[in-house]
Amino acid sequence: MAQLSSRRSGEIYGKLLYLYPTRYRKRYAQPMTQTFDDMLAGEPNHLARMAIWGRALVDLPASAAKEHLTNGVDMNMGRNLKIIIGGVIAALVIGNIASFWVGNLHARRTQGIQQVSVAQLADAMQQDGFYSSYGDATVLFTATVASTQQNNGVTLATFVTGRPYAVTCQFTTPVSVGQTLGVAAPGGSAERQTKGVLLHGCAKTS
Amino acid sequence: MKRIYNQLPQVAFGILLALSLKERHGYEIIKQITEDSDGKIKLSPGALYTSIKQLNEQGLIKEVEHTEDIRRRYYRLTEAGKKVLGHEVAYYRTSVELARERRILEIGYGTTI
Repeated sequence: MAQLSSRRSGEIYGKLLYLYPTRYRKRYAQPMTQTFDDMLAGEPNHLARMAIWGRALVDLPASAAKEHLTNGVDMNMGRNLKIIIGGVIAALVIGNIASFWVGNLHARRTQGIQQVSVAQLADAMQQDGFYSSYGDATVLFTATVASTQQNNGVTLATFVTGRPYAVTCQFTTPVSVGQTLGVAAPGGSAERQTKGVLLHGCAKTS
Repeated sequence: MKRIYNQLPQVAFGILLALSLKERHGYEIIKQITEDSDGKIKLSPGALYTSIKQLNEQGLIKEVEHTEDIRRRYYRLTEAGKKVLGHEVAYYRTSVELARERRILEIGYGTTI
């Protein structure tokens, strides 16, 4: 974007002004494009020009929407304009979803939350990789209770893993055999057992 | 012209303030607002001309032609615009004086003035 010539930038910016209502565009498109050209010409630095573009791309849909709301939506807009508006709305929706997804992933990584399967937990303990993989994390998983056992007021629930190793969780709330649960547990609290792993401090998330 | 104080949005106030010294075109207004706000407000043409349109419709600024620079449109304050700007500035001056009297800025609300 920084490599665009000033003329080309002005042309692209001018096309984007089709987002505005026709009457507004007829009156202000020329001075807006001229002002945008002046702003780019006034910045010798590529990064500064990119920042101008960035601000313009954020500002344009907002101010165009404001003009449409102020003056009523221009029903005579051409097919190309409808495509542009549709594209901008789609881009904003996709952008929001993508930023939420990236943010969620980032939060999970930086906050040490890992979504896993119960089979992964069983395999990790069997292969001596449990603590290195999940020792600093809170693990989230969904599993079905295969059996339960009461022990000093807590419930020990063993899940169906389909693996040689078992995964057992310690709950302070009752759980039933056959129940499918969402579970959160601190990986650091895991205790190795003869053929399985016992997770202390488990909480039901669903 | 009777007008309630402090009705102008920040950008509109910035435009009137930028035009208080002389007629300016869009880019000059943007630069002046950036300078006046100590770099905190960086406008794009979209926001600028939305406000220019409103101020124009309210009769606070007027478009003028410069024969030596026909590519750009210049704007200047109207008499009504000067009055409104005066009222706004008076409002802010009163607010700042009140803030000083109440020592608001010395007890943790921000920088001192």
